[in-house]
Amino acid sequence: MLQFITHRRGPYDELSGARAVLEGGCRWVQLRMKDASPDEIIAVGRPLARLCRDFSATFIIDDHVGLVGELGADGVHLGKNDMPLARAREILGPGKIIGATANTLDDMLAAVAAGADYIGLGPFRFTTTKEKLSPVLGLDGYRRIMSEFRRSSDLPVVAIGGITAEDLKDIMTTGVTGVAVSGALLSADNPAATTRHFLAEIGLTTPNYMKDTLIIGGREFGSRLFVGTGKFRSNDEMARAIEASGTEMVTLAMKRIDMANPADDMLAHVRRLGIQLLPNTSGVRNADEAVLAAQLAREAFETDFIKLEIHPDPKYLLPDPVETLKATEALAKMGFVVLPYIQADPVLCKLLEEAGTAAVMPLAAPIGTNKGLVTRDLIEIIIEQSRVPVVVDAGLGAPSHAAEAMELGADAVLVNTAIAVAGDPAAMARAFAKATEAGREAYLAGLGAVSRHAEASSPLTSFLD
Amino acid sequence: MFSEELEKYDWEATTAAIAAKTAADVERAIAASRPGIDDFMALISPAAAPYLEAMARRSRELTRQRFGKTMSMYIPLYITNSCTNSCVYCGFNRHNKMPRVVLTAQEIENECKAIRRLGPFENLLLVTGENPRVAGVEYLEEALRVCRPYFNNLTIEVMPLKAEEYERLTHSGLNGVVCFQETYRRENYKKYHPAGMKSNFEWRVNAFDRMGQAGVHKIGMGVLIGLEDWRTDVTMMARHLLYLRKHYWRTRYSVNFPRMRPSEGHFQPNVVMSDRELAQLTFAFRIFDRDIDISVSTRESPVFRNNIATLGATSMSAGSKTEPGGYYTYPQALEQFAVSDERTPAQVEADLRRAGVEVVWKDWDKIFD
Repeated sequence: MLQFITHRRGPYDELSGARAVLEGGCRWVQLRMKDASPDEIIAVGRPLARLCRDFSATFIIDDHVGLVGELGADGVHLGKNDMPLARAREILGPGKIIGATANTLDDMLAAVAAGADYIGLGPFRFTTTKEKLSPVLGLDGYRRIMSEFRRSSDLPVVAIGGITAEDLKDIMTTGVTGVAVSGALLSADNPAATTRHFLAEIGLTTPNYMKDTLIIGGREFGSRLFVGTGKFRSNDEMARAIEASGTEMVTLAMKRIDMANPADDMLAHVRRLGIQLLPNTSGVRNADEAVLAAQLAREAFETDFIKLEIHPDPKYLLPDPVETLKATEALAKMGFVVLPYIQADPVLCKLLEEAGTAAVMPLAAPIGTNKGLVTRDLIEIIIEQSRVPVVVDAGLGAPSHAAEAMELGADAVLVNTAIAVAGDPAAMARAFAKATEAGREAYLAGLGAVSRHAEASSPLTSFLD
Repeated sequence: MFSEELEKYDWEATTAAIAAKTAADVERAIAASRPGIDDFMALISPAAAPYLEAMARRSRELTRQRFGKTMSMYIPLYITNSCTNSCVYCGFNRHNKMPRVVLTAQEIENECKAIRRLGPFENLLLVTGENPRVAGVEYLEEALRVCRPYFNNLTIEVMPLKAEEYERLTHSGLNGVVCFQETYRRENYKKYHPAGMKSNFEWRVNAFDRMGQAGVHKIGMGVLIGLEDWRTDVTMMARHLLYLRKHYWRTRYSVNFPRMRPSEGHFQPNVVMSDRELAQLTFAFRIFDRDIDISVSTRESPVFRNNIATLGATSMSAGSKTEPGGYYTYPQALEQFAVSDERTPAQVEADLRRAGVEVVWKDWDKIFD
């Protein structure tokens, strides 16, 4: 683990410094701007959050618990004089990372008890970036504290405070999980190369490719549940459900949004959550209208992601395969990340692939029916043949349906109606999140066989005896 | 191109993964509704040996479901044994002192007529050595043109070509291309194929991409069993097949498991595959891919062929001569490999009928080409 803490140094500001170390392979950035106002932090944090997303890096903020949601950060790092950890956990919920600074074993044990996700232990030596200094621990201090700490906890611990490349080998023998650095990387002639060197010394040469993540349009998704925004009783209820689902992408119908008004209530609710927007073209009837709508969406939502929905039939909302293929071809050429909603048609999926689609979204059942995997046999074929992610869309009415789709090997599911119309949408969203994860894990684990009886005789293969 | 995909797979790791498969893995694979590559590895692993009967049952069930109780018949026609390669195991090796012939258009036509007298064959496999100078694309084009009136389905087994050359031949009646990778073990490939175009691993392994790009209707694959650990080699081929199916999904695929026998020639195989293992591999492939055409040549014995015909194989040759002009022009020239099944096509047909298998001579029409 290598955490980079932003600061300004030489030619680098927070953003360009972070970019350099991300290019070197670091995948964990803490935005630290002591003495800056929240507005100043937001101004830097927005582009930094996007940058981290592009590199699939973890992004946390120093001190400002209130900005985590605003910036769509993964968590917060709390110093000893910041908000108490337990209070931050209350605000952020279990899904966010909270790190805590510690100088002593007692600090560390208190952080564990309060629910920290990792501990920054230091300072290793005298440093100029931290102003309020605690006693320097040195290598011996680390050895002593870590050997005690490891008796009761395996929480990740990063060493911090003036660590240089020469220290890494020794410090990693004390039992820490990694290091957090700022000055050592940016003061180097080539920060990216120095980052690579650090990672090699720490023993993490490359980012962890083993984690099971989904990539669509160059963006990485930790959650395989996508959520729709229609049919909710209120925007607040929608926002709560989206949050509870843990989703990282929501689709919203352009026709529902007042695109000329950036303060549109629904949009504001979704934006607040800091997740990928997937505008959909629902309402268009042919490829030309879809292309126009996608261009408007790109303008209004500042994203290349577009969910292509062309259903000329207003009753069952079944997608038009011919127009969808045409529109996909055109939009892919224009650089859109196209996710077309389609019939569960394996041949159409291959044609869409050739047209440059980013994913395919076959329907499980007619939209809004809650019937589950009616098209199961065809979806199995699509999954077997596909070179792009398969997102099962429409008709999933219960968490068990989502689990079933994931067990088959779908890359993700998209759910709207079943969550929106549930008695308690947030609770249902959580249930879908669990089911999606369970199905994925089952798929990766390899489902067991239906057992068959062994037979003693061998009538078919006796010719081989 | 597949050569890049192949770099993802480590030979030793694959070998170790196959060896580590357990009985539970095999049971799961036999029952799987959509077996993956891990299931395939279980099915060909030593752990599957006790499950041969269960695999045969499953394989037969799937074969019948998809193909019915039928056998598609084909016949090879060797039109030249001229070759610039020196593959250490092959009778056509350029260092072998033997008469080299390149059949003329007239001779090819005579061969076609002789084959038609042998049986009502409609699927012809045209085979050459690899000598682009004397038997290049023009020659193949001419050969296809000569054969076209006699057969409804023309397949070639020749040196790897460029995509545009494959495409050009499809306009002369080409329907399918068979090409054996021989081995997917890149580091040892050159040992067996020291000279000529065939010594270029990438050129050969990427030929399948070029066939797909050219829109060839049917692609035939195979590894030569006897060079490297066959379990690992066929696993690589299965991965290749998965890759091809995803990329060239309009194409049909077939596999063949040619195995070298110890007594066959001057080259002694590094590994010898038993009949049981060949049966296991056939069943495994059918369970892994229910739509694949599994072809069994006259390299195999009549008993083996009569039995495997009901358990997984879907196409067979009969009455084959593996020397150029062997049906009419030069009945005495040296063959590429030894034939184990000397029965006439009529005898093969009668035996298959007795086993409950309907022989299909024609399953394609030239108007579709």
